[in-house]
Amino acid sequence: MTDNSQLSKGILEGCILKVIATGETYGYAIVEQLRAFGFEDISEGTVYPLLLRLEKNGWLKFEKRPSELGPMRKYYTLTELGGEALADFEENWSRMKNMVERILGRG
Amino acid sequence: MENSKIERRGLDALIAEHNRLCEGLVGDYEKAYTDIVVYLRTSNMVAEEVESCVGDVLDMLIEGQGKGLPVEAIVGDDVEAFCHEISAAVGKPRIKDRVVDRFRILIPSLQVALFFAWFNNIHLKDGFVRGVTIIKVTPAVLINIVLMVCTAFIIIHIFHRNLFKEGKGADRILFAQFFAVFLTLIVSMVGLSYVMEQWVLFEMHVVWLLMAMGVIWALYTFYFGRLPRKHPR
Repeated sequence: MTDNSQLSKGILEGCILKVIATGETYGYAIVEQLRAFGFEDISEGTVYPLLLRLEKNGWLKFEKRPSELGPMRKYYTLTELGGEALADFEENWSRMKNMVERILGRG
Repeated sequence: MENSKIERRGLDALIAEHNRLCEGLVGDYEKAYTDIVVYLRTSNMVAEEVESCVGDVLDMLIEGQGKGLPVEAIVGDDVEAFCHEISAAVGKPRIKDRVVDRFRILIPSLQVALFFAWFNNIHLKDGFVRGVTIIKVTPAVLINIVLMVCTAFIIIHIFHRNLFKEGKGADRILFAQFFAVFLTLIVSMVGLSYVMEQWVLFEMHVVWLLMAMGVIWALYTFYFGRLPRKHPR
């Protein structure tokens, strides 16, 4: 896994936390919201492993409800830890964005 | 981590539901699902983790198929990478969970091994079939039971490692691996039985063997098939 890939996944995790923070949601709906924000090439195959990791970290909790056609579906919400992780991400992103823009001569 | 409700159904019932629901998948969706499920069910993940992920993947695929999307829009261009990402995200199971989970493979393979131990005991002598009711337990019988159980685990591991290798060369390698494993098993079993034929440790009536198999199967069914199990995540 390259460093760029790790960086992208870290950013995507933060974005997923933010999407879920706005309201209870499930996998495909998260992907649709990310695509609406410009992540055009993203698939559920990219998001799902990240959701597993976020849940394993204790940042997400889920409730299973029946879906229309398939098995029980997970609807995710943030835990308290997840809220703290999101706040950390927003702070780190703001700091990183300022640093990069200074380097690129826009700050 | 208290992230889910306790499963109200046994694992076998959940697997049966997944197997029923997947029948609606067709074409590329069916192929992707098959590859993902075989990968997950032959991986080191414990069965509860596997079926939780299988349920999630099934939900994704059924919805994607219903919307008429290409399967790549759901699982990405590389199904193998998707599977590796799931496995990495779930992480290694606790040793205690892994040991308990291995009983799901150990117990059925032990049943088969006991059957073959009894079957191997049957022989012709003086024109009569002997060894049907009285089993002579030699060290070879015990070693062969262990060998058969180990072979079951090796076969699963070979399946897992070769799952995404395609082409005629890959098929030949897979066949060669299976052939080598089974040949080694058969030669070992026959050789050990021949060498240790006279070293009878004890004799047992086949009724005791059947009772042991019945008790083992009842415990297996009760523990893995019917009892509500707490989700490990």
